[in-house]
Amino acid sequence: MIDLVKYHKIRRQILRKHPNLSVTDKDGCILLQGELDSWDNIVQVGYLAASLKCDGVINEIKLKGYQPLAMRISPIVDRQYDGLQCDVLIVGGGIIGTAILREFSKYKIKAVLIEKESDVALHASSRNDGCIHVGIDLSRHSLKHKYLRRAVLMYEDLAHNLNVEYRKTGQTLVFTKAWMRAIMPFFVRHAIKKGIKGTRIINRRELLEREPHINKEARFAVFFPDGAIISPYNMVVALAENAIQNGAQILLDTAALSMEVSDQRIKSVATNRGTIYPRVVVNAAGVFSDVLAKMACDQCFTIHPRQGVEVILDKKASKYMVNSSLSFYRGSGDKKVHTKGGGVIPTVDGNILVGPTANEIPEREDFSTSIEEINALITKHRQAIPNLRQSDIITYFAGIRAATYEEDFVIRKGKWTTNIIHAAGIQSPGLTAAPAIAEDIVKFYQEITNESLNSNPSFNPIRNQQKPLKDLSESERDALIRQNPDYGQIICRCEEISKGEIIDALHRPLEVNTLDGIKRRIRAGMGRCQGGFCQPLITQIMAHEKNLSLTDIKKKGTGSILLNANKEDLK
Amino acid sequence: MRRYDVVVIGAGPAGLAASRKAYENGASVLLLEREAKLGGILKQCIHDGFGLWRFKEKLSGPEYAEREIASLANTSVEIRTLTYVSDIKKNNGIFNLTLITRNGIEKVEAKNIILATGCRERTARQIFIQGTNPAGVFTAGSAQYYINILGQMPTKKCVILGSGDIGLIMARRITLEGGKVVGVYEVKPTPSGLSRNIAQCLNDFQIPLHLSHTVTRVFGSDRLTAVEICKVDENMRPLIETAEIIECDALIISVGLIPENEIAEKLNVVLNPKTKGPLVDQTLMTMGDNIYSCGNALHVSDLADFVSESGEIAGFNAAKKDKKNRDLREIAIDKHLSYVVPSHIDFAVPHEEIIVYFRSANEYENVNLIVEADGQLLFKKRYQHLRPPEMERLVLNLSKLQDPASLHLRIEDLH
Repeated sequence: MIDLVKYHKIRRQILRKHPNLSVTDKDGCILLQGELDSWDNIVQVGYLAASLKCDGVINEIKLKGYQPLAMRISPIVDRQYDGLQCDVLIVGGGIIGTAILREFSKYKIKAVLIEKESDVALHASSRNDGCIHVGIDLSRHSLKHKYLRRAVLMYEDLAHNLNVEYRKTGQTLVFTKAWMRAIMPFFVRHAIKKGIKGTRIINRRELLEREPHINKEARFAVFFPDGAIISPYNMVVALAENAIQNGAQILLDTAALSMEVSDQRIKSVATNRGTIYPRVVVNAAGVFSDVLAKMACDQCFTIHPRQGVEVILDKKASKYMVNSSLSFYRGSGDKKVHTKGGGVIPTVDGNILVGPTANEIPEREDFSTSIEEINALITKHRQAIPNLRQSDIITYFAGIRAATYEEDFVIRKGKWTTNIIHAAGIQSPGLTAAPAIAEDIVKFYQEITNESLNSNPSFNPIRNQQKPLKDLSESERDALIRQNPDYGQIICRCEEISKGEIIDALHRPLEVNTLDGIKRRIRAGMGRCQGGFCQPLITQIMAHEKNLSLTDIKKKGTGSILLNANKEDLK
Repeated sequence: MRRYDVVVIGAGPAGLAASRKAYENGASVLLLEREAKLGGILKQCIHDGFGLWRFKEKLSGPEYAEREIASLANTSVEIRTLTYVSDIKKNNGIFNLTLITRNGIEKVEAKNIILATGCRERTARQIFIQGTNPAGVFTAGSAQYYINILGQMPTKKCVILGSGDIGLIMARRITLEGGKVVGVYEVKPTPSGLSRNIAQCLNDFQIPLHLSHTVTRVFGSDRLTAVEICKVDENMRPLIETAEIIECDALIISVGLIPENEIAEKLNVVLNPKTKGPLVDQTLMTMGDNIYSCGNALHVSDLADFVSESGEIAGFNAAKKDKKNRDLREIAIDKHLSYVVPSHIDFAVPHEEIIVYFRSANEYENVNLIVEADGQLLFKKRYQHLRPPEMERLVLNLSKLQDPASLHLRIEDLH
């Protein structure tokens, strides 16, 4: 129930500023409608509405004179999956969707995941810093906190079972003001109370021993030994592959376009590849989760896209950077900004990642970067690591956080529609929280269907995955080459990846259709030459293995043909 | 374990020439190549102009490579293709190499190593091109591979960024194959490639060259759909107000080559920050004893002919027996020169015929290049033109010089 006094106060506040808007109570949610001429104002109004604790903010205010781009979907249109029936249909193949799919694969149930892109983990799940957070900045009343606390206890085992590298580098929060030392005992006690084990203050001497390359203005730091790093897209691929091995199904290039809803139930989900008939739908659609919720007649939250840019440095630069995920505390001004402000973070692959930034934008799929942002990022973090140089950057990328106005996850059964479950509004620490969220989604499913699930007797939690050959001992590597000479033919020289490993990557449980897909799985083309030498070779291997013509090979999505001009075109 | 006098890494023009010369000078030689075929990047350079200096003939890249490969035919040089050097260590003056091959992991030993590993291309991201990350951004070298080796076209209509030689050659190649090159854009106020390539590849085909322009952004989420071009100021910073959008389906990048020296770095060989290749003396020995460098791994050359020549120098010297302790002096250069190779002279070995390569830092006309030792003039040469894209070669005789305190190479009367 909405607190009516507060509701009217906030409504008046909004209307005083923007008299042309409409603010209404929609069955416990606050509905904002109208038109404004600044995106920042639209976001501000959303936040103001969210200060009313209600069932959610539905912000439908339009930006004047601006038509947002339609959701990008695969150009494939066929009936391949028409009539498919399943118990649960998960929409979205990011960390959340795949964690949920794997969780369902523990039970005797027909679980299907659809993903609109040509691979999993193409949005926020591959465009983040890979941190397994300790959650120092989270409110104890938030769902972010609740799921993170449970998930950190599960993560190490999960990563181990899935054969995904999980490295506990710790997280270091550096302070530059000596007087703050006095309040640190309270800070540490607070952290331990939250459940952040091993939190401790480290003095300047120890700090500089651990992190010799940081700005010498550092006075002391708080160290969280449980902070860890993983490769986020490897985690998603691993979850997806393990789910498939245990009987679940993933349909790529398949987008939910509309739903048939009657009697408060989703009857069917129309996709570009036919209509699917699920008993229950799970919304793990990331930046489009509010759009999907609306399709299901169950929109009780709104996503406002928040872009973040990150840069990757050459491995050679790692020697004079950081040993843990490190950030400088910048005072209480941070409270207004919905990000920890980024940091300098090691990656499991041995590079250093710097970022992310935070920018509210109207587009949900604008992954473009700008030189101003990259310059600002480097300038900012150079205050922490004076060695940071622009010339060490080998690549950069942007991601979009699926932020809600409540700045919390939406993990709940449908408000109006009875057979939908939302796992939405996921931003940091979503990568960390995913396995715990997945458990609750399965619980909600049982509550909705009023059935308790039987466990899948053949469920195998282990995903077997060949380690990169260059990380094996010489004798192990030699033995493998003697079995398969392709393991002895190096194709990607920067990362030392063999032809055999590329062929293996093309024949894993989840189909790999693109050059970028190979890159994300085994790093071929991710080194300092960025594929200059190996891309043509991998293109040939892929065409041969998949029995395709060279002109069928794509970089990323269906429309990204690499060799796009045939001889007829050119006549 | 087999031990060789000389192991050559890389079988492009530098490695091929180095192997033959080392063999002719009496060494046992092993030549290692990562790829399936010998010849390095020459294999995909089907245009002509190779060998004018070395063979006094106009050859294509593959023809030039064939000659060099043929010259190894009746030698005892052992050649191993599809062989990747994964590790190299020096123990008691002997190099231990770990090789990854299709037959397994093998180990060999070498008394001398010649690094002939060539170079790689700078990428779009290293020059901070912004925007999206679509298919359709190619380095000139990979576009060349797709067209010349695989017979496939990566573009119908493209923009080329960078007027380096490969960029110019690809402008002509794409045009000949029926593609459209909207223009070649160069951030510098002067072209980066050889004058002959500007004439033969652009002017002859009416492809416009836009100096002091660069590509700042690309558009398109799956395939590239357009690029943003900006004029740049005198500091090569883009002038945003001049931004212009050009529709095309590909951006071909030819913005410089970087010598590949990851193996050299593993051996702690000191690199010259200017050339990104090792510091060497006139025998092309690096600052690491018995480690030699040649070809484009040493410094990026304009002509394959010079690459072969440096290979021969390295091969000849690596094969020498009974090496003495080195007596190295650095050659100092002034700000008008970009670099000089060799960077050092070893006075403990013959120094009467030293082959020197250099590039000027800017364009100069009618200037004297002089070499001095302890303030005394040793050599003087008049140049009508000096241009950074055109590498100069000269032969110095320093035999009269015994023990100079300083050695200078500079351009006269320019301060």
